[in-house]
Amino acid sequence: MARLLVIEDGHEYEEFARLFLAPPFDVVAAHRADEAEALAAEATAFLIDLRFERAAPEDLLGDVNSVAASRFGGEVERAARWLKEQQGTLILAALREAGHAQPAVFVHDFPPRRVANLRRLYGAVAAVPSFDARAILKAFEALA
Amino acid sequence: MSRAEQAARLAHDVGKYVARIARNVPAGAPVPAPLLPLLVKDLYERPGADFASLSAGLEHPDVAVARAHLGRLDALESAVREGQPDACVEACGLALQIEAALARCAEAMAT
Repeated sequence: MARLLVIEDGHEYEEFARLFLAPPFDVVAAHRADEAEALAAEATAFLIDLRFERAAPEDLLGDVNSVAASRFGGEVERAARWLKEQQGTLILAALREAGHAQPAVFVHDFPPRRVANLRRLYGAVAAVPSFDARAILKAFEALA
Repeated sequence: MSRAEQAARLAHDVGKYVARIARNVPAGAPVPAPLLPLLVKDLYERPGADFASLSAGLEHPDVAVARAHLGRLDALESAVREGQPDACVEACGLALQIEAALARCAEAMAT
């Protein structure tokens, strides 16, 4: 059976996937970048939450001071917020860098140009704006 | 936090999750019994999804729409927890409308 790696800061995506996406998937979950990297090799596809609002700062991927300096004129608080708001894409970037090219679906209402940019950067990526099981399965089928 | 960021967070933390189960129940159809506990969780038991605090200071017609629908959800809570079919159907409809309203607000604030 295909294995779906769910990547989120809570448990709602995993609960949803176990109810509505299994089958066709066998579901496993990660809540931080290092957990995702450890599980990625065995996964067929990724289902990703973009925003990690509930994550502790020490559990986030990315260096807040580097981000503050490069993106926010040194504003550390703003950088810390950005790391939470974009954590899903940062984790996907890390997975791609590690050689994991599996299809990835975000459950997030991205504007079309953002989806296009994510595809340009990370290949097989789609976005579904809500917890719509049928749409998510169709997105994975389209990326296969 | 800018208004755009606030609206985006509201759409994510409240709108998306309140409709998680409701989105997957056919419109107007009874909520299957195994899904009821998760529907209750989505509607009434999400810590950190406090609409009042997340929407504080954010003025937009769709925030008012979401607030009104959440008020109606509160009134339905006992009936939904008991699994009363009509209440659950109405609650699912409200959840979808809340999601849509907050998504519209986030889109409007982003442009």
